[in-house]
Amino acid sequence: MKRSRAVTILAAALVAAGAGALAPRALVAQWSRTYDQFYLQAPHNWEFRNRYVGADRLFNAFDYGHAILYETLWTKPSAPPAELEEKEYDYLTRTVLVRPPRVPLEEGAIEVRYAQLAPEAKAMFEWAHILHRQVYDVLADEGLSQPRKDAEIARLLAYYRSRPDLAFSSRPKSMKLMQEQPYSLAFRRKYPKFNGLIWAYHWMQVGLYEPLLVGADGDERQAGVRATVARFWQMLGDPPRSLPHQMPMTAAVAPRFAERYEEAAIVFDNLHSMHDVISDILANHDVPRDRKRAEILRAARLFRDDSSYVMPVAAWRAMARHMGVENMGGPAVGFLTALPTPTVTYGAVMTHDDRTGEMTGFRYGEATGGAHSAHDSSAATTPSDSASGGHEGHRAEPSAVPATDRDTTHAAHGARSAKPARAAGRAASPKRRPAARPTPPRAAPAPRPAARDTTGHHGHHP
Amino acid sequence: MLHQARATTTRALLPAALSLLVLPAVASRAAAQTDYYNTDAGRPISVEDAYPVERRAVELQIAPLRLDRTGGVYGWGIEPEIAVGILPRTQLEVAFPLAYVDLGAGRRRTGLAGVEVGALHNLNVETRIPALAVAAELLIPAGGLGPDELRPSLKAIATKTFPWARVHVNGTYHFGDRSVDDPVDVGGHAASDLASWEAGVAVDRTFPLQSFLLTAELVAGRPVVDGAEVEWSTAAGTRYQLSPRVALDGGAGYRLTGIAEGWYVTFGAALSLGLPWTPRR
Repeated sequence: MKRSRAVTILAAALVAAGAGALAPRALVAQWSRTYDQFYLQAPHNWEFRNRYVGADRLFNAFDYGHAILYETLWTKPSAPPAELEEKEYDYLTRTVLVRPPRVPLEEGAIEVRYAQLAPEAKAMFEWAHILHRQVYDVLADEGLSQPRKDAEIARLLAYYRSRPDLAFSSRPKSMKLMQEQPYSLAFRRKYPKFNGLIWAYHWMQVGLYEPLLVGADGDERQAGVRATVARFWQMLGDPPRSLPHQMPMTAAVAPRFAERYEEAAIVFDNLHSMHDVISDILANHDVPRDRKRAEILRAARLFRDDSSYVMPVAAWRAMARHMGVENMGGPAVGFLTALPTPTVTYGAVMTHDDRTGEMTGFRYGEATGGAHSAHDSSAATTPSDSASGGHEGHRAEPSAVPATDRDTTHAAHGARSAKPARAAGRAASPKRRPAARPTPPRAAPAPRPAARDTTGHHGHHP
Repeated sequence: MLHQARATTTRALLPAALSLLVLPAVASRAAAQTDYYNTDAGRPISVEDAYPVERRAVELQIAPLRLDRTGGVYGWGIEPEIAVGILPRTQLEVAFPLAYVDLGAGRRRTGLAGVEVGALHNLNVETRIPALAVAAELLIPAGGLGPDELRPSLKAIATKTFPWARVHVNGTYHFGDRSVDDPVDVGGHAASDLASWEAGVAVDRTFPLQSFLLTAELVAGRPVVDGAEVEWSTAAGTRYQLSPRVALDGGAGYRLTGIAEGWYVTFGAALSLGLPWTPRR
């Protein structure tokens, strides 16, 4: 009797705790069964952490930035922009990034409410971040030959795909999915500085593969990683002007990596694209709060499937070129001393032909000069004041309404491609000849092979 | 006379001390997760969260130590354990508690205090609904200091996270007819030791940038002793992520009521690895 009473009490307590005040339908909608999975066990585990301490710690700090962003957007919808643009931005760039955490963070302890809103999306990010980190480990492992590295990365990708409920599609997604949805652009418009910081994170997350890949030996890889990390700090020097103006595309920022590990590069672009999508959904007040979860889950499905908004790989590469690496923070290796001059206004939305990837116009923002001067939009209202960049001629009036209401896609174009800074990434557009890019006066001196990267920051603190 | 009384007490407290050493295994799934954020029973408190180790994770408890003092008798224990995330949301675990008990008068006993086998299954991840889990455990008679009969139990777990803290609720029912007349027969142990049931609530506060948390619990349980009152105990501790693979924990507890009032301290470390083979596609 005692026993059955105790069991009944236990069961009742569980049900009461679980059901709460939720109606059955709401309960079903809230029932989530996603789960975490351990990273692939391998001898190269944590190799990057061991060899590149400073850069690895910065990635831990990036985790905090992503988490606090979503938590703030979700829990403080009425907060002034300064909450993120000043308070959190300053804390991130002056404290967290300067003294980054020792170990990867438990994001669920930072984005408490967001994690409860969309645990499925959180799990997708974590699964992709595991892939990110394990690829660094492979490329950082000095004991692996290049063919062995290739084989290990193929194994990592197979492991990643073994979770189809979490894995981003390995097929490139059109930028329409990211920036031409009803909720798109809300985040970058309201929080340009924080948005640029996230893009700088993404620049480094994909960019750091490049020095690991192109370095001929351990010393060169160390020096290259230090230089790329220093470049990241340089981007924080004068925000948002100095921050990337477009989402960094792996094929542009790290062309050698994207060439060799195409599938991984596509997954990372899709990952970073969905980061922006969730920011927009959370920041856009036109999406009611009780629809946010559904919209996030919808976007997550679209990023996982292999059929929605897909474009050919060649088009994905062309799109990255046409967006202009100078608008993404520049290449991750072989860059000049000065940051590249963007050739579009901050956060500009270019339209592209999904079959070829070629730019067709501007949906938001405009060109500020450069190789795209032949792209004239019918919405152009302001002549370019710069001839240094790659997007002169693409112009559309900056819009204050959702981008879907402002299609300038079919304006006249004399499309000339922006040319990537590194020859290694120069896969010519299938139809167009890459346009000439102003020749840089001189390249930055190559970093000296140095002691292991242990600091993560090199004199460019904001 | 005094010496005789002490000898009697120490003999009586032997199973109590052993039980306390086994407690983390009996009361709930044993500590399994390397991640400092995923609290585990016995590391350092007995109440735990509703999440198992990650799928394909292998966690080795390499130094879970416990020092207990009850009625002037000290007991030490170490409980090597392996936990494996064998299925989605599910872990299996096996623990081998080893006990060392100072019986006084220069007498000591050391040995295996049973084998604990358990499984924990998480039902859902937390949304507006708390995370829920169920666990089943079996303490198998084995070793010179093990129990004299199988001791199965079922447990229900709920975790709710707030921005300021997480709250965990655990409730465990132990099967078996162990009701006895004389508390000495079971050593006058703590509420959550050889209890017929126990329930506890814990609150933890996380410091995410430091990968560190503080936690505290309050536990009630009814001993198997006939007519015994519900006993209360409390504990507090900390968990800390030393490296991506190693987590440390430490804590202390006090049995507030009952005939086995006393204190204990714990220290643990766990190493986390992955299954060495890749999954079938």
